Amino acid sequence: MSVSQILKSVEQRAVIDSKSVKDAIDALAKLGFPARRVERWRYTRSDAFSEYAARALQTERPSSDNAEAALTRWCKSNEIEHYAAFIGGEFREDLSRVPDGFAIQSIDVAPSIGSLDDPADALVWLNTIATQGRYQISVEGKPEQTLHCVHVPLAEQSIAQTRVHLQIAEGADASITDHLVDGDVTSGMLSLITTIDLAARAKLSHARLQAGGAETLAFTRIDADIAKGATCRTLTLDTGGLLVRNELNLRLNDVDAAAYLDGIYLSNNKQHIDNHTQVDHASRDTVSRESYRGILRDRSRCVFNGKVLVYEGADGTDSVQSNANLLLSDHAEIDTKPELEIYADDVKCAHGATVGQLDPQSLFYLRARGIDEATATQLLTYAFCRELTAELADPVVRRLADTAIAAEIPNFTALELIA
Amino acid sequence: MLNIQSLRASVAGTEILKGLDLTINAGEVHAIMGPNGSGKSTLANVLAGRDDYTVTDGSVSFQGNDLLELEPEERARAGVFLAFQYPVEIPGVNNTYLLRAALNAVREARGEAELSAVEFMKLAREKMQSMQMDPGFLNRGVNEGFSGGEKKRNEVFQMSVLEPSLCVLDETDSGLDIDALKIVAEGVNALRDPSRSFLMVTHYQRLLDYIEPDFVHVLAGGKIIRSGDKSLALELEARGYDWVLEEAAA
Repeated sequence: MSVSQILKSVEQRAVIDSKSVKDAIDALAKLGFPARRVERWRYTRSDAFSEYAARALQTERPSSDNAEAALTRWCKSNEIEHYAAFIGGEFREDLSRVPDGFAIQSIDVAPSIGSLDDPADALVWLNTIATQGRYQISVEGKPEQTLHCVHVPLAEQSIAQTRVHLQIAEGADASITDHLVDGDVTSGMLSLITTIDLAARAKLSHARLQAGGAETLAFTRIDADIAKGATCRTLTLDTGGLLVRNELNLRLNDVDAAAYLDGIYLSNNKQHIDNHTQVDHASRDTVSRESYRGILRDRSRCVFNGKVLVYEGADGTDSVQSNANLLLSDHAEIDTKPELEIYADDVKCAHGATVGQLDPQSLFYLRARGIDEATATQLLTYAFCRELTAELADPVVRRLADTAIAAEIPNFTALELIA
Repeated sequence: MLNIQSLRASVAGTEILKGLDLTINAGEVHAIMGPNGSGKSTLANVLAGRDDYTVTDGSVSFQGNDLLELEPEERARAGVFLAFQYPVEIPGVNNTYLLRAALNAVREARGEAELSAVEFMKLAREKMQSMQMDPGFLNRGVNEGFSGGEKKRNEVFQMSVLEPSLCVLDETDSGLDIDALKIVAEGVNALRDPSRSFLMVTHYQRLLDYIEPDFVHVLAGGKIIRSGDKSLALELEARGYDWVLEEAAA
């Protein structure tokens, strides 16, 4: 039902200007959104996205005045001086102050990177069909500053879809952070697809900080091709939103390519946060390190599915994956599933998942130093996440991530205890 | 200072302390020795309030108050300090900030004003120097990446900053080489004061060469079976525990 509504509203307003759009329409019409029996969508309702999109696509696109004001306020209060503004999914050069070293341009057809079209995905088709804009961000050399891409929703109940391609040149070294902010609205849907082409010996530090409104739906997907000697670092932090699905697919294509994937999710109330990651060791002598951590409260539910795929002949693969969860409520639920598929002989692959409470030894140590129990609990909760944010190279990104984490810990008063 | 009467405590349903009596007056240094599994560490942890241990009988009064009624953090603020046998690594919580918060909690309980960041750093640097610790440790996570010896030194460093009334040292000497042992002992000796008491749990007489105790007690089977002065420790070193156990049984 919702698929036919989506296709109808697309017919009315979108220009079907390329083969990829036409293909996506055909695929969506034929296959629709994945059902629960599809393993990748076993724990998360894809129809929630399709129903929301169907409704939002039928309404008039609201004015951007409120979002523009919200952007200014956000940048000011967070002391961000250089940024790229994405308002309701559209890049607004007139509102942006892009730092030196980054070039942003509109493109007609976004390249297909990694496994973006395999397995095919209804949310990718939806983004392709009804995107607000396709952009390429190119980096050569080593820009000094981080590019902060600030994504602001237009209004309540609105939908924003963006496709961004990052072209990181040979030997370049860049830091890019996506901020998915609430823009002072509580509802809406955001779909952000990022493809990354990381050339030989290039380095990228990418962070995605999602702090959407309490009723928002967010779908993000990153697909990266990582060339010889290149390093891709990602941090995915989710504190906001009602229903969040993140897909992260990194493919190590040549020797000495490396991927570092960190993720933090803090859920409460009835939030649902789903992280699906896949690392492809497609070449010999490649490295991946993955660490995802979650803190779940109330009746929230989170999903972690981390797949590591070692191709035939990819000897010398070195991969470590871990997922650790703190369940702070009897009613919260985590579904964690590491998956290893190895078709090479000489590999080192380790993975592990833990679900538990705070370490009683650490708690007692802090209390034996005069820290009251409530503060000690908050501190340890915060420290659990902070081990990952400590890896962030840019102190501004680190501060924003830490602040977002601290804000999720009820009555957290011990910020002065943090270095 | 501390008065323990007929203390019984169990862990996971097994009774470890079986009616222990001990009185420590202000300014005294007491050493508790004894064979493995005799209850030495249990005693130290019960005093600090670790909740893995259940006190089933007896009383502990500290400066006239019922210690067993207090939460671990309240005991710390009242002036009880446990130097841990196995100090915990807590990555993500900064060593310096923890110590400053600990000090200000203790100062508040004593009715003293908080130390400013500058005053605190001055004090911390001074004390670190006397413990011959690398000032870089201040910027690390609590005990994060410290060697066994560095962790023990950090415990005594914290103790010297917090200036507790009762210092409980749980096998602080274990895992220390002789140089580190001397530094730790100097740190403890510098804190000796007519108003401060020490309870040292140790397995070896070696520590007592450097920190001279006023009293030595032998803990076995959950009770103190013999007390004496420092010559008892030397005798234990020379003859082992069997003769004390036999005499106590007789």
